[in-house]
Amino acid sequence: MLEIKNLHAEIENEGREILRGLDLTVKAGEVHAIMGPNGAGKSTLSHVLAGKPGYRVTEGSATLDGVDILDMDPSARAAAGVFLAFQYPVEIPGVANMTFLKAALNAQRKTRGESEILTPDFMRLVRTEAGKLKIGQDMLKRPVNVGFSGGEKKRNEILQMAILQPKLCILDETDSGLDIDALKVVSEGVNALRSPDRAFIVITHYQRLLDHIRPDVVHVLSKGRIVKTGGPELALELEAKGYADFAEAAA
Amino acid sequence: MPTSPKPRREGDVMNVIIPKERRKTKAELELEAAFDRVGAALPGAGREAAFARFTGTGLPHRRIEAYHFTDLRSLLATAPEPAARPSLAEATAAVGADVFAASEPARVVLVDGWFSPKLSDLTGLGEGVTVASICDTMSSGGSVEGIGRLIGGRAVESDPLVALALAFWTDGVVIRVAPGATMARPLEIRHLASGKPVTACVRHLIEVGAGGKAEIVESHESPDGVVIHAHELTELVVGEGAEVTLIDRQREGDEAVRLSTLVVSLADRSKLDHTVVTLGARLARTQVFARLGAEVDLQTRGATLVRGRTHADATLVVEHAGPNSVSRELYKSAVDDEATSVFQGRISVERAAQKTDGRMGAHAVLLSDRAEAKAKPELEIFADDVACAHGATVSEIDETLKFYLMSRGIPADETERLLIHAFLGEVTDAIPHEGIRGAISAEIDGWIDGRGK
Repeated sequence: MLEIKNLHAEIENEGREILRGLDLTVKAGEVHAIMGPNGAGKSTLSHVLAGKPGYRVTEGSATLDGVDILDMDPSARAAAGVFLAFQYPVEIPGVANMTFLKAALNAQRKTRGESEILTPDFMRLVRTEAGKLKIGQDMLKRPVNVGFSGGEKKRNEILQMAILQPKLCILDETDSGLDIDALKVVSEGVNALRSPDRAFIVITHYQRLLDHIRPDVVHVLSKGRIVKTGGPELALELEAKGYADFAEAAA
Repeated sequence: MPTSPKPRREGDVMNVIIPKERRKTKAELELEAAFDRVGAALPGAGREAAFARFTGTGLPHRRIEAYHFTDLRSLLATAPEPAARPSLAEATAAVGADVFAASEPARVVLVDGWFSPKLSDLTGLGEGVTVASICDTMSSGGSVEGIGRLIGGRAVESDPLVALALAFWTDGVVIRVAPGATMARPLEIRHLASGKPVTACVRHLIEVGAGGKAEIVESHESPDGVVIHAHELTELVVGEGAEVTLIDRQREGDEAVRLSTLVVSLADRSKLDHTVVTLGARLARTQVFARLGAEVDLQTRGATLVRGRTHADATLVVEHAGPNSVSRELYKSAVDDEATSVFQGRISVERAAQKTDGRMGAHAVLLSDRAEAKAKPELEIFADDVACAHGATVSEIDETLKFYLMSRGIPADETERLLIHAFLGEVTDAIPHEGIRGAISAEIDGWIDGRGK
């Protein structure tokens, strides 16, 4: 589904290279965890895939189902099926959560040449998905993420994912700022979305999240490249030994 | 220095005494000629004195502090002829669709500054509510009780726009709500234009008695491509414990000039909820001078949407004269192309106004590299136990917010639309009347959709 080849990317204004020849293949139905020390390029990878301004891809490619996504603007990537769950979801004063969800869903459908969702169908969809994530009516009526707690913001990200039904979900440190209970709710939400035609990239520092969202493949990212790939046991190994070995291996 | 064309020495202009220090501008000379021609025939007293105050200073310019950002000497190239009363056919032709129709307001219609009883509908306003033409009242020998009371001897009297309005007004309405009476439906004051290039000048007096309630929306419209100067002076007297909602929305044509002044006095325990929405005109200035008694609640908000090369100015002076009053001033503008928005606001708290709670905010979002926003919020406090604050921001559309929305599939232009609407929503969502709020919200969306076209 996702095929990244020799990806090089730098921060636009500084010219500092963060991703240095990254290769990654993620097949439909798989969950890949990406771990690594601070500054390895984990968040940059998620930003570059989603199309966040401020980065420049200097070499390499990233395709989703054979289509190059790096030339698309962020909204086109989203319509193509890319979804980034933000580490720090953004507060948008004045735009009600419900209005936002509907605008996003309909915009994606329009880009894909589908008709707009009927309001009753939309309401039913939101009610069902919000219920699973313990998101109440007040959170849907309030402006997007404004005044939400850390846990509420992350649950709201998963709600968007559930409604937009992307092909490729990238979770950028979704566990940061979550207590144990919130982590469980969020993980259950993610697990409910696992399906044979959807893939996940789970970026995290900690093994803890992977106890809840079981990965098929674990990668270690260091200095802008994947330096080791293994099964779930690799995450346990990292938890025990830390990243010291890999930092040197990449150097 | 604004350039001053050499005055033509012909006709009645010959008699004008030109001070040695400067040449008068074309617009000033045209105003003087017009006053000589029409001033004497207009009803009411005090016009000569008002015009003398105007000629004493002339059009205000950048070295006059209150007009520093809106230099009328350079922005007003001409002053069109004062408008004659339009015929019924002309007036009728000026009436287009009313965006507030769904709210079923009673209606006062003025065309080119003249009240048109045939086009107005003053039914259903309820017991104790009266509306009358000021011109008709005075022309038939009657007097309008209380008119000018908020202006005479006050600082506002020396404002050049107030002086011009007092010299040139042709008509307007006096609206009275008796003590304890409530307007049974909203009243719309519709200012329309026949499409002739004229100066239309109106004044209104709105008096809401103690405990009375009124809901008034003013709308201003004129066609594109015509140089129309629209002046307005409104006195609003809010009695003890009275509650007033006033919405002033203008969508003048792209060559129009709109210069409005609202003078308000708020008696003890009264409430005013005021909103100004600026969607049109090449040059607009809205001045609000409010004076508050004790335990008053004043909310005043503005939404300014400007593009092209237009210039819109909101100027606000709020005087807290009595204790325990609350005032909230929130003015927002969206500025596109090469347009300019100006906000000047001053809250002044007199010695007696202890426990004043005042908060003023002015925020602008710039939608193009050449757009400009100027803000000058001021506090002037003479009481020692008050809570007052002000803040001003000028920014572009937040890239972080934009990326977040786009990352969910919303295209760039739709993202900007949502964010501009949300930015101004803080002003328009607070309009109490649901129908009027909805109509204005739709007009704002229409403005946003018209960007870049």
